[in-house]
Amino acid sequence: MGMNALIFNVLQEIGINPARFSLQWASAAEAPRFVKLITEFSGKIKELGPLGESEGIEPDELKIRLDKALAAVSSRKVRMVYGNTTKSIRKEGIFTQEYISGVIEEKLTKAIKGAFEADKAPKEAKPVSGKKAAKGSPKKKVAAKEKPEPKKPAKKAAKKAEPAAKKKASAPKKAAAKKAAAPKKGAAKKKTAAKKKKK
Amino acid sequence: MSKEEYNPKILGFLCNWCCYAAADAAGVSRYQYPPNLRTIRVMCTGRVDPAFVLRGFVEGADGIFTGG
Repeated sequence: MGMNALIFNVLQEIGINPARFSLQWASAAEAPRFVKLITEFSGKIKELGPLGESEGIEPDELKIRLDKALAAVSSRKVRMVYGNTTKSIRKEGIFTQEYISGVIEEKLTKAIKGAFEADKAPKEAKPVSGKKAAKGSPKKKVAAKEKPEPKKPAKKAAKKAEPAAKKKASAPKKAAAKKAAAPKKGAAKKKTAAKKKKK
Repeated sequence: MSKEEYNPKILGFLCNWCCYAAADAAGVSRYQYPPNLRTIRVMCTGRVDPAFVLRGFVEGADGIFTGG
């Protein structure tokens, strides 16, 4: 039912009749009820005509608006707020349609409008987005530049130091390894020899 | 195209356990209902995301029916 309210909100925002969406319930045993619901809904849509006709929206404009709405609904912020709202509704434990619609409207209109405006900004006002990008990107670049610079020398120094240490360390290690391996091999050989003898 | 001939495209998200079974039962018991419904079966109405519905409108549905 939260979904219901959210979709109604978004459809109203883009100027489409919310009656084009319907959420209904009919159990598996309620075939007549299902038929009634579908007949009613179909009749309603027939009256309204094709999408955008009764609303007076041109097909091109309609497509732009629908794409915007889809992007808004899929945006992370709206989804986050929606998820949190449904969680809070579950906690409250009140499941009437009016209450849920009220809560969704109260909490989500801001996020939805924000998502629409975020969508509009790059299309309508390019200089603003350019400024934003100019403001945002140099900082990131500077930050990106600053970070690796101190790291690199440190890494180099570490690399320089490492091989020397490795050489020192590796020589005795190898010797130790050889020593360790030798007796094992010997032991293995002895074992196989013993097995052969047994056979 | 006159309005009498106009057949709306209706997209239906039907729950496997409720409305889908009801639609099946309606077919079995020969109830007449309009043929405009294009059905998508979902395993639960809770699976339907707001983005699905808007996507349906983008793809050209005139109305969307969600049946739980």
